[in-house]
Amino acid sequence: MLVGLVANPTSSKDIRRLTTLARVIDIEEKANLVARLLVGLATEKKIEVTALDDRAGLVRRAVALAGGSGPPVDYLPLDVEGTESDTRRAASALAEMGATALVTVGGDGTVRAAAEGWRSVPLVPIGAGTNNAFALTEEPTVVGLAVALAVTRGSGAFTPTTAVEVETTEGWALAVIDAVVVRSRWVGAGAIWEPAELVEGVVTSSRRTAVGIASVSACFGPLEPGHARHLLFGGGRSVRAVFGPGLVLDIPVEGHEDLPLGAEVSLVEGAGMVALDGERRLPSEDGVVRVVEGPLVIDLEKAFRVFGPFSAGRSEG
Amino acid sequence: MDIPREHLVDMYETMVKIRRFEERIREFYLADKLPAFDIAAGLIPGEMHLAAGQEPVAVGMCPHLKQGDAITATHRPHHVAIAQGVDLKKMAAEIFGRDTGLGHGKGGHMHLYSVEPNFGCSGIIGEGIPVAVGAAMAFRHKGTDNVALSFFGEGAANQGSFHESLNLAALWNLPVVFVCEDNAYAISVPKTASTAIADNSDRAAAYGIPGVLVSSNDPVAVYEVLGEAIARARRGEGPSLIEIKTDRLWGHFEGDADAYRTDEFKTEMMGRDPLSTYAKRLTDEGILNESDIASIQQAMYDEVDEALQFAQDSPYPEPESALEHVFAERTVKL
Amino acid sequence: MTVKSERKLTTQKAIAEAIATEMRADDSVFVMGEDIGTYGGIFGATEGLLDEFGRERVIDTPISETGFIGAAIGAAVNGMRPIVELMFVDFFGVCMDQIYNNMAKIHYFSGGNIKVPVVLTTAVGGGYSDAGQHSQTLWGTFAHMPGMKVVIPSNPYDAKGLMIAAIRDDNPVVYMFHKGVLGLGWMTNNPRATGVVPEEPYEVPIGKLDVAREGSDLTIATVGLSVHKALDAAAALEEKGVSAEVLDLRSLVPLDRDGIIASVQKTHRLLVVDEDYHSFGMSGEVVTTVIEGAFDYLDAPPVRVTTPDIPIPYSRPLEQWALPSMERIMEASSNLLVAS
Repeated sequence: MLVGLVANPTSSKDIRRLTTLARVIDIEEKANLVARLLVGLATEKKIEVTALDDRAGLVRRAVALAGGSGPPVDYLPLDVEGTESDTRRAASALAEMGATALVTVGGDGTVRAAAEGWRSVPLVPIGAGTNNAFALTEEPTVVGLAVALAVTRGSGAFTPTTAVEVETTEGWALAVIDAVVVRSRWVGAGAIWEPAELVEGVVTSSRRTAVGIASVSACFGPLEPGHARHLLFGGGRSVRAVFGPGLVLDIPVEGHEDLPLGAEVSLVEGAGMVALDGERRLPSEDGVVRVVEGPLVIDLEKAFRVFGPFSAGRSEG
Repeated sequence: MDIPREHLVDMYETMVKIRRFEERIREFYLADKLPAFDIAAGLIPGEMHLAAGQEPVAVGMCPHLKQGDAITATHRPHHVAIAQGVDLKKMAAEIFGRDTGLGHGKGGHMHLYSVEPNFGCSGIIGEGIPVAVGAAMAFRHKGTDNVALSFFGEGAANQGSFHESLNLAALWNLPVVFVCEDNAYAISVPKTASTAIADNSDRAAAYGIPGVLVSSNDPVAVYEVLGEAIARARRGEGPSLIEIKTDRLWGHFEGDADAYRTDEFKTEMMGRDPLSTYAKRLTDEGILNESDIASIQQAMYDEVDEALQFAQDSPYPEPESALEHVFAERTVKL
Repeated sequence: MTVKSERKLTTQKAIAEAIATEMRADDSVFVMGEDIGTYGGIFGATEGLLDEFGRERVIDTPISETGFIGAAIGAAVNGMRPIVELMFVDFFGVCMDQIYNNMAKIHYFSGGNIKVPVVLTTAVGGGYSDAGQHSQTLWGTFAHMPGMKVVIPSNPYDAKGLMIAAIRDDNPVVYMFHKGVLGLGWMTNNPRATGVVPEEPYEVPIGKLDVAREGSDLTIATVGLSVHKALDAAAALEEKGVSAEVLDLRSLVPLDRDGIIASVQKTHRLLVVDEDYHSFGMSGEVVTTVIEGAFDYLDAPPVRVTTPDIPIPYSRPLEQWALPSMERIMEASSNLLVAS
């Protein structure tokens, strides 16, 4: 059973180290997370891992750390550029190879790029980013174990999500959490951190425990499954949200509307850029946002409930 | 986050000026040394380290600087000096070894010192990093909100002075921004062969300061990150380490066969020349049109050419003046 | 009639007083180094300063010589007047680039536009069994490299005056204090380490030697603790009818060559005592100065009493044999007088 692995050495090192209380999750730390994940995966002998051979040798380091306790790991024959296209192309390649799950180690941007490369990817997102609005924050060894159970005994542990698709004159892109129009015209350092810049957004999450735009959305109540929320920023009324690590802000929201699957929103004329999952990406000209089906994400509780807890001494041959 | 048009255009102009300067210096440097390279020959003898491709690292700071801010740089200093606004004529004259140069010909290309703006560079790897720490101490003592920036390469990040300086700046919470220009090669040694970890920005945590990685050689990204880092330091929130992945388009020094980098690597690098990509972005955004670009080019080329002409026309210092300026005259009296 | 109070200080206390005096007069003067604050300096050079001036101006540093000496340079270039201590001169190896390549050259490279008013204080000298890495003098090494002044006081009066002059100098000054002349309570007692020191500020000019003792039969030129030994030797020689002139050079950069030549023109014989290593150093420089400037005045070839080119050994009989002593000075003087 093939499990894909993409670890991003660049996540959680951006400008938000200066604009919020976000800390760097360094490469050693990520390697350690991956090593722990690998040990969890190895609990099922049938599992083999194919990984992106990242620019920093992070996975190789993890494999060395896990030593004999890890599963066999192979590397994708990809030309690594050190950009998010690595993640996208790796996800596509793993889809073609029939991977049963894709573990990502990185931030929301990493997840997004993976989903762009593989639309219906069964995701196991391990959080190593700034907001980790989408990611799991549980102990990676436990996550590895859950994945091992989930893929060897059926795929019922993955639940569908909602995503948003953005189409502008410059191209098409996918966001797993939010597509937000900001006033800036420049990709620059990517991240957004100033409420005054926000124009409008479509967000797929309203988890009260999320950070970022999802935290804003949460102020307006829960979202029906398969729905996304259209927010119009500005105006006199504000809501208090956790916009980033250590960053609690009052965000002015003029209006909101819940959208079902398939709904489309035309973006405000002449605004600026569309930020996808917190990173400025496309000019917003003639922009349309569509609510679509997103990737599948593992539900750890389900994995353990449906497929039983791990018993010491009982291993599948 | 909305960037004033003026800043965007200024950065472009400065990038053009830097590139033109480096190109022309290169022409002068090589002209009378070839065909058989003699390092001691010609109008600009000695070593020459040019920064073509690294312009974004330098120009990103420009709009955030204020008078009195101190900058220390390396043996590859021109882009930083030009970005900070060091007198181009005096800088050119110093590179040409003339009496009208910044140091009356005593320093040369690797030892450019300017009082206003407050700039210094050094030929010894890592030597300027602690000096920036000291400048920050002086600013704090005087109660100004000036900051010090130290530019150095990824090779220097393995030198003791780097580590000592980050520790001191963090310990004393000084207004220093440490800028690591990662062009992936320390002369011929690639970073993978010199540094135990992949990203120098990870090292910041070892000193308890924030580290940021700027993955693209993009002046706007540098502008945003340095803007935050500098503002933070001015507010008294302490030092930070900014690592910027940039491209050294030419060899380590002029005359370097650069055989240790593959043709493929070099072609790929040239393909993302920041000058072209930024110009395209500015025109796509309607900030500048073709005719603006042409007139900027003309203006910058003229300024550079004027500076170089000034240098060539300037006299050499008198030989015996080599004995002057070892020591300063006393100003503090009994 | 005013009774002039003859207040005496040890050399160590004179140094600390000089620094305090200048720190009171000029807010840009500050002190930095390892253990110079709470401890008052391992050799007491900064005693009492922390209490009077506080931690903003008396800064205990981590063990980061390159870092804090480089920082002193940066501060000096930006309007401060730092006094930075290199605890033992023997430690220069870890930070010499900042000293000789940076501090000493910025003024020159900038064509005189930028000043670097740093005082680099450091403890030098042996004779108390601190072995090969904590007993060196090394003034020859520092004096050899252009761009920094080098001063070596031998007594309390000069220590205060030279420190004030060094602080007021706009150039980098390496201020080397010999541990044996400091008058420290935990070192072997040295009566010459205590002397009259005026309370008011005063300067001793950098670049001018002092005739510590006038004489006519030979010139003994030296610095630091060897001045004391030379004076002791001169007193003993006097009883044998020999009149030795003792020159306390005080500065090696600038070196008072005229003063040395003037003395030899008078005495016609030269003995150089140098606690630094024998070869390629101060003693060779002084001898050559006299060869070049007073050759015809010499009645005998110059001689020198130095430390041989060996790491300074630990064991007392070895160290005491190796370093210049009063006995070796007397013997060399006698030989010099016999020679022609």
